Amino acid sequence: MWKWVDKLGEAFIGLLHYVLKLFGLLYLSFKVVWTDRDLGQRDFLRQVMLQVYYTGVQSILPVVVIALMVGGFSIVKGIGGIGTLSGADNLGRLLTVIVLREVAPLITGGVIITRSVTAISAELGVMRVQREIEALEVMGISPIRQLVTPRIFGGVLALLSLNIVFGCVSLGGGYALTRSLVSVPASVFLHSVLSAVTPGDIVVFSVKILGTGIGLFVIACYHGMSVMRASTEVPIAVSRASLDSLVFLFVFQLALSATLLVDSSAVAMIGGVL
Amino acid sequence: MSSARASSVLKLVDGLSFDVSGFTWSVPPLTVAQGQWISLQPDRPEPEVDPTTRLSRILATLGPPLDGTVEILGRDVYRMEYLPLQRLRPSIGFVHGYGGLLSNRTVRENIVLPLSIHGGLSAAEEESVIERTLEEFRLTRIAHLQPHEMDGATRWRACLARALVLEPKLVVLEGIGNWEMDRGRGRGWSVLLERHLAGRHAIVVCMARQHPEFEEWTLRHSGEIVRYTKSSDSIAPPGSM
Repeated sequence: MWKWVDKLGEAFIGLLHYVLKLFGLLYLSFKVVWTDRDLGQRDFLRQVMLQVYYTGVQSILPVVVIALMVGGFSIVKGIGGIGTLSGADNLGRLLTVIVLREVAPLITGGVIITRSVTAISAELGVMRVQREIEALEVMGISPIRQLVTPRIFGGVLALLSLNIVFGCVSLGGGYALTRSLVSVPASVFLHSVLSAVTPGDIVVFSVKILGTGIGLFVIACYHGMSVMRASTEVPIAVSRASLDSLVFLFVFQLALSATLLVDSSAVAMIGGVL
Repeated sequence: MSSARASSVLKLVDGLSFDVSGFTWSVPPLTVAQGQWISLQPDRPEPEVDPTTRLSRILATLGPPLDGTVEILGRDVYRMEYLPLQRLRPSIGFVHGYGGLLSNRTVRENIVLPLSIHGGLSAAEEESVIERTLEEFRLTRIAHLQPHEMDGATRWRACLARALVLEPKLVVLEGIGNWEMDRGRGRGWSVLLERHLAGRHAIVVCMARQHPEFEEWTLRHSGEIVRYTKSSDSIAPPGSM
């Protein structure tokens, strides 16, 4: 009878331990920016920019394609559900809430997991096995500052950019794609979307991107850096990183959406202040 | 030996012991000064056990010994906090026996890395040092290659160039690598020898086994051989570490 309680407790403590380690890595990755501020800023910035390129620029095409599909589908379904001109304002609100606030962070997060989380955990794992991280240490270069912090900073910047691209393409491109199917004039559509975006939406959007980005990249780096000596540990690290990231993505998005749904008055208040 | 020899760079105060695959090894108390070349050799090598990596990592501040004190430039490195140790490490040039170069960077970028972090030079000065180092190690023509595009001996030479670019006080070599091949066509060992004769570094070569030719070469060029001993056969079941 008590066995499963023990197991549950053990799993919970394990989860807590894991989360603490992730926060520890996050703390260190911010701390080294300050403690190593006198060491090679040029190379650090280069690493951040490289990460923006690998994660952001190289992911634009799949994000654009998916955004067009999502935008077109949402507009067609939205029009079908709430009518055309009579529901233009509602359509704008619907697209803003669903596409910008909910779907964009989820889909871009998914793209990032597929492309970057797996790549980062594999790269860092291989670097461990090939003693490249040890080589950094012996040169007096913090591996956290050289490898983890730029990936988190660059990754968050890239995720933010991809979300903006996703929003613009899904709304603009989606409208263009479905032009022959719907009869809403462009000016009415644009006005309905823009008037539906509130400062509260921007706050929620920013929090989601920041939280998602930091979470995904810390998980990726943690699993990559956890590899010890054997190359057989690398695929295990990649698999754990991608699975944990996926779970984190959904749990974080859901938790944030649910919190905001319950406390929507707080959002309105933030919006009012802004 | 140069006049700089008086200044101690590496000191093994109480001797040093370390374990590898169940065997314990002891290095005698030792002081290595600038301009000195020491080759550390096991007195009775174990054919299936290579203590080189463990010993060189200990000397390069990467892992503590079982017993004994390692002092580098007068500091007990295994009692230091992380940040001061990080600032001391550029004084150590560590040459990996294999690997060690960053695989996502070219030869040039690998050599630039420590210089751009710790060199404190302007871009122009940095460029000039890099060009000189690439030339010195005959790496100029392959500076654009990544590690996977080079053979082992060239990778080792690039690793040596990276280790020496900051003019470290102490150079630790993990094994003699491709000594024969490098001497035949490369520039790694001869550059190291030139720098040794000029008294620019304290050099410690960690060897896995006796190598008569290398020993003879070391002694001929005013190097010294220090033997470390296997003090116990088994402190733990092999493979348990």
